[in-house]
Amino acid sequence: MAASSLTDAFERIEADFESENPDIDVVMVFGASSTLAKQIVDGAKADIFASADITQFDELSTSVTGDEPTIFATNRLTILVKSGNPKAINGLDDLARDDVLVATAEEGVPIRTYTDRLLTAAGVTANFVTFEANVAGIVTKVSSGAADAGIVYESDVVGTESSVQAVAIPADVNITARYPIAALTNSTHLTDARRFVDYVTSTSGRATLIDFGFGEP
Amino acid sequence: MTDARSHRRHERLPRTAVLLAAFTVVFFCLPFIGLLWRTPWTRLLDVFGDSTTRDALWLSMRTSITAAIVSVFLGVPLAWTLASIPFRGRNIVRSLCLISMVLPPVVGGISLLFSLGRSGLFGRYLDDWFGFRFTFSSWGVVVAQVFVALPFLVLTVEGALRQADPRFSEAARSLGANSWYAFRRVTLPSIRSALIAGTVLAWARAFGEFGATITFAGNYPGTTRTLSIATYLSLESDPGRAMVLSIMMIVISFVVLVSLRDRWLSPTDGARR
Repeated sequence: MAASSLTDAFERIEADFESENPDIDVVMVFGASSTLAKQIVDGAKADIFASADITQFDELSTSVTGDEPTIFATNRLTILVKSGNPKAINGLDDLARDDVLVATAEEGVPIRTYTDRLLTAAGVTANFVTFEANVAGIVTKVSSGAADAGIVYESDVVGTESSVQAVAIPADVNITARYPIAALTNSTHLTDARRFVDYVTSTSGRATLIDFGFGEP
Repeated sequence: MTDARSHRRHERLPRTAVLLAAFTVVFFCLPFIGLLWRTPWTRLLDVFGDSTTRDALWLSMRTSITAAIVSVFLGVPLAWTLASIPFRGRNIVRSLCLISMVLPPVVGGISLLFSLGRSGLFGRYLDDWFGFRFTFSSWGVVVAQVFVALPFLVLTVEGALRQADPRFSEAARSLGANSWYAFRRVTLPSIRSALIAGTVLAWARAFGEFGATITFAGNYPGTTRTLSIATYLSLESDPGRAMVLSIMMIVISFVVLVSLRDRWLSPTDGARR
């Protein structure tokens, strides 16, 4: 089970891994990290968990045992706007403008936690108009033009349609999201699961992640 | 009424049918029992007393009742047309109007976003010309709810209109009543029960609507966060709260559906009386 921000990168990694290991069939489930963690705690069968934030592993540790999580990728935040940037949004300050409608996620979703931390540090009160269920909801609202901007992961901008573009957040205020992965030790395919985790953290796995907009761990 | 009903219904059913029926009832009860068992009852008062819960409930009530009223005004003429005028392509028109019943609500929401949304094909003109937006407004919630709820009313009312005896309204018209008058005073009263059932079903569907609403109208406290959106989203951050809110939705919907007594579910009680 993997955070929905990993969807495109992990689908590629899955294909590469399966062609190298034809005897293993990886089945991916993507969702908000917080939702997935809850499902695993509630007994969903998962062999591997890859989250967008380490806190979900703390949640797991109360009821599920797993290997020590490894940070395998990082992701930074960026401002997503409509392509051509019609509202001339050039930085975080513009998100406070009355004429700029900003989409974010509901509390408890990692992207919201990061967004709040970033905006608090920058001293910006954004003009939020909607609290979506996940990052995909934010992207939809911006790409359809319902909202003017949203803060998402850099990896979310890679591979999305040309209807959106990113406005960079200066490195000195930006926040780095760290993605931990681990095999869960009550897995029925523990050896295979560990092989997949090894593949994700290997050089070729890392290269794929970088192609999809993620950063080095 | 009650007498007529009781000696009409005492038919002997095969035991298997009754057993299967009992199984089905159990199937519907189990999830609720599971929910009741896990619900943190001690939090009942604090969740109900919370102003965010009250805001969401109040918004859900306002929007779903508005959606039900809009559904009646739009749905009855549509049902009447579909039931009475045999035009070419009627089946296609009917299917078009009912399709949102079977679509995943998110698909409906996306379609609404691209058509009536702030930058949608038509929605952009509402914004340019009138400064009016459905997106992120309570009217957007109502539109999303009407979109998914209307078919329930159309289906119920059209079915009843097809079974209603046309001779009464013909008689009314032969006595000089125009078609609107005959429809309002003769046909409509004869399908009264179906109209009520259809309205209540449409309301219930609107009240529970979630996917189309959050996709089209978004989620903001007080304007677009309905009780069903609040319930779904609190699963992430506070599952106990989500369970209490679920109980609230179940109780409200149950009370309304129970008040829809048997007699309102028979298609044409008026004509029989």
